[in-house]
Amino acid sequence: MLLKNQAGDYPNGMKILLIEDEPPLRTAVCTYLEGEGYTVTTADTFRQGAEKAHDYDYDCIVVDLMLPDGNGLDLVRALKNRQSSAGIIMVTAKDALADKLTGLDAGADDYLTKPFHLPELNARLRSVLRRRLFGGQAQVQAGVLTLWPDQQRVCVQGTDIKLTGKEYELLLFLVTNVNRLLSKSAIAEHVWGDAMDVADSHEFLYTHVKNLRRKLLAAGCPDYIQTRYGAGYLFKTT
Amino acid sequence: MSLYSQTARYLLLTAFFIALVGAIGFYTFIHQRIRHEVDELLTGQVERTERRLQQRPAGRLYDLDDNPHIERIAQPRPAEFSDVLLIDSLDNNDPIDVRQLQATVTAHGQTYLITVRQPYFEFNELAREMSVSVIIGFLLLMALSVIIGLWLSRRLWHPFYETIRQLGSVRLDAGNEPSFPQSNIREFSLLSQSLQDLTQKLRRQFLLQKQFTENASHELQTPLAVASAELDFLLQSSHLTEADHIHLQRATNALNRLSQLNRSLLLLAQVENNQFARNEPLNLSDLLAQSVTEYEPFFEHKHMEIKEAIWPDVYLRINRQLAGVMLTNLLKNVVRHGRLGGCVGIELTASALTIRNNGSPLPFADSQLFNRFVKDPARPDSTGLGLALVKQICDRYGLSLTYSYEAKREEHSFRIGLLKESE
Repeated sequence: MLLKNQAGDYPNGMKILLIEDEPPLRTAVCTYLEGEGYTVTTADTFRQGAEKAHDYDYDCIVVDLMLPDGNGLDLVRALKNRQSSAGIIMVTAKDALADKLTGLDAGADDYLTKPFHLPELNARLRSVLRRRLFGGQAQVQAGVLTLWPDQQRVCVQGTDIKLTGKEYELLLFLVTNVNRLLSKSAIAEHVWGDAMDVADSHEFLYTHVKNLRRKLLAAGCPDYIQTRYGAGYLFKTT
Repeated sequence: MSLYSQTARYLLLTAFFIALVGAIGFYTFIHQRIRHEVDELLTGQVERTERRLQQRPAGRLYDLDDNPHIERIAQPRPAEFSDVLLIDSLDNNDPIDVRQLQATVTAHGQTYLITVRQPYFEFNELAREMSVSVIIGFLLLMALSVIIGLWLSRRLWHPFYETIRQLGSVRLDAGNEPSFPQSNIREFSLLSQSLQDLTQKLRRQFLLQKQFTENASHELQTPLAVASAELDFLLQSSHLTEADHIHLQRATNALNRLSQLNRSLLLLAQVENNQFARNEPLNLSDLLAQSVTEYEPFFEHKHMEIKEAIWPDVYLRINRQLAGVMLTNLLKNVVRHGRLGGCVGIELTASALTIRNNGSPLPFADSQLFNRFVKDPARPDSTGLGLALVKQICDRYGLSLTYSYEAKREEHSFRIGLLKESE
């Protein structure tokens, strides 16, 4: 069941299965996602994960590819064979294009390389869930802003705001992680990926945030984006 | 030249030589035997003549051929064989080879010189015919043996060539084991067995190495992921002061650098160990244009002017991921070290990719530029691996990578020759 709060597609009660063998990472991810409003079940082995994935229905499964007793890819294939409706996000330490393609071919929805920022995982989860639940029609509400992620469209009280592709990604990332303080690294990595080493992009990010803010304010949107000196940015509608 | 043709060449050359020497030797030998026989014949004739002389007087002893020719002489002479040429009055007056024996005999107190002659012709012809037929026979035999030999070696060496063919198609990263042909020839089956063992050993080593880099990647990135997640948590705490945030930011940056370093080092190791095998003819023009588009905002941010000249449809046989890493690192380098408001030149032709940017001269020797962990002291936050990776990838594909600096225009230039050195 999907409950919407003021910040859009808040996933209260969305069921997530997290299969990860590293206890501290599992705990951290689990706690963070629960804080985001998901209902999280964890599994620490391939076998346990496969059993749970088979016995219960999840909205999304986050699976580490390298598990001590099996390869996460096999689980992806098994789920696809059963035509499970669950979304799948693979998490792996391997940064190889070939593995990524194999995973996506096997039917995974997304691929995340370790180490990742927790807001990044949240954004990926949200994106997968949006696609699964609403197809291309998803709509996200954040204060006076309405976003259509699949059409790269945003409007303030009925008026469209023209944003560049990267500005849109930036805004969507902020909106998705509403009320969370986001580090510059996390934002830069999400928007520009590997294109830029994070250290180089802080100043670059500053310019982009400034432009975005200017455009939003010009369209009559309150200043939702707050800067925390030395820390990063925070999107807050209240 | 193949083993067959080489063998055939030697065999035929030897056969020809043997035939030549043999022909002369054989002819000489036969000729000598014939002369010997003729000489015996002549000696016998002289003896018969001598006996007849002793029985009857010389005057009544003659025949139409004047052979033997008998004349009286005063002093006895030693017997003498000689070859003479006589005119054949019956056959167009052609000269013919004749063997002649002159010997003195004594009968009834009288000394006679007896000359007997025997023409060679049938014998010489016989010798020639025999020599020729023997040589022809020999050559035929040789030709036959060469043909049989070639056919045999083609058959016998077949497993060897099959083994070589198999060896050429061995790929360590492919799942299937190469199967070298079994042969009932001991040497070949030994070769096959040894190669099988060798490739198995190599494959094991390759897989071990691959596994190691993958495991190292996993083992290193996982604690980094834990640390990163914990920092993300900490960031959400509401009790943090501004100073705390700055510390957190620094820790996050250091962690990012560590992760980047780890990834680059693993990538270097993987390139070094040839773990990127999936090469494909890649449209470098498209990939470059795409990468440049990706970096355009960064160039614009630094107010750099982009001068692009990319030929369409330049293809290069390379692994897609590595090509991406190569271009990305070159462009990243330009963004990071290029001068604010400078020029960026990106040029791709069928023969070379050239990337230029304005900037101060290198703070270290040119020769160190592509070494690992060599970095601008003013930018200690970079990994110092980006260009090393570019170099490693170029080396892996036999592409030449050169760097030059033009002091007058303050321009750094990186050039990758796309025509492989080996071709």
